Amino acid sequence: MNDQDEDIDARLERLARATDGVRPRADFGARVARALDAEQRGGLLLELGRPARRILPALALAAAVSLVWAVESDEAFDDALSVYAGETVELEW
Amino acid sequence: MSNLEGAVERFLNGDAAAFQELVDATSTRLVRLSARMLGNVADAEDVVQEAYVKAYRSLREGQFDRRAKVETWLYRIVVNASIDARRKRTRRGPAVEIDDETVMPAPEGQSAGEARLALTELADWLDQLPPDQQAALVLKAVEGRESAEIAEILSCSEGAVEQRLVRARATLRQRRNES
Repeated sequence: MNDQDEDIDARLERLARATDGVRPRADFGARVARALDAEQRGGLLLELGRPARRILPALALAAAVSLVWAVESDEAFDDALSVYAGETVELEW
Repeated sequence: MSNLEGAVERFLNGDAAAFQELVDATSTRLVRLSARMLGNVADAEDVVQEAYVKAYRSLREGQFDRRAKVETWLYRIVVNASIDARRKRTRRGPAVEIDDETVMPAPEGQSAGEARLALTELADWLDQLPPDQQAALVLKAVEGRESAEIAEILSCSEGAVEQRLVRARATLRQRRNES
């Protein structure tokens, strides 16, 4: 180590001593506790959301099947109506 | 098993309050370390708070493999977060005012104001260095950590730590000669 390094080390040592008393503000522990609470709540919501995400594909499939069924039903209904379309329905009063 | 290791063990076994013990036992050292890298206590508190949330999440999700000591692991998170915070700081604004409550009177009769000035001086001086060299120098020459532990904190070899220290000193020497 040369003289210049000693200068650098002496300055570092002085600054280390001068900052030895640095500490967080008194409410820092409470602040961290609040942040951890928020994290815990967020984690809980995430956990609750996981089962919902798991059944999402099944729900999407059910929605698609329902749509197909609705379209087919609609076509069947239209077909049923068309059977009577050419006929004259006499209404009796 | 140390107190910190014990607190982690209890947290992993469902004692949520054990994490707060971890915070109480380490927050002073971690905020001081981050403040020495960033130059003020306010930024350091933000960084360390985020670091604790990250550590909490990692423990809960089983990502802490316990290969390192708990303190070393926390130091690693805080050093990386401080380096990120320093990178994000595009320009240094005026020094953040901190009240005397944030700084305990240092030994040998130094005042809180002197400690505040010293933090600013240290961060401004070491701002000349790349973040990895700055971290190595702060951990070695200011925090007094052993090279082996610094290597673990910085996730590199001891040789790489020594190399960063040599380069850091060379850069500081060169800058001083230029000025």
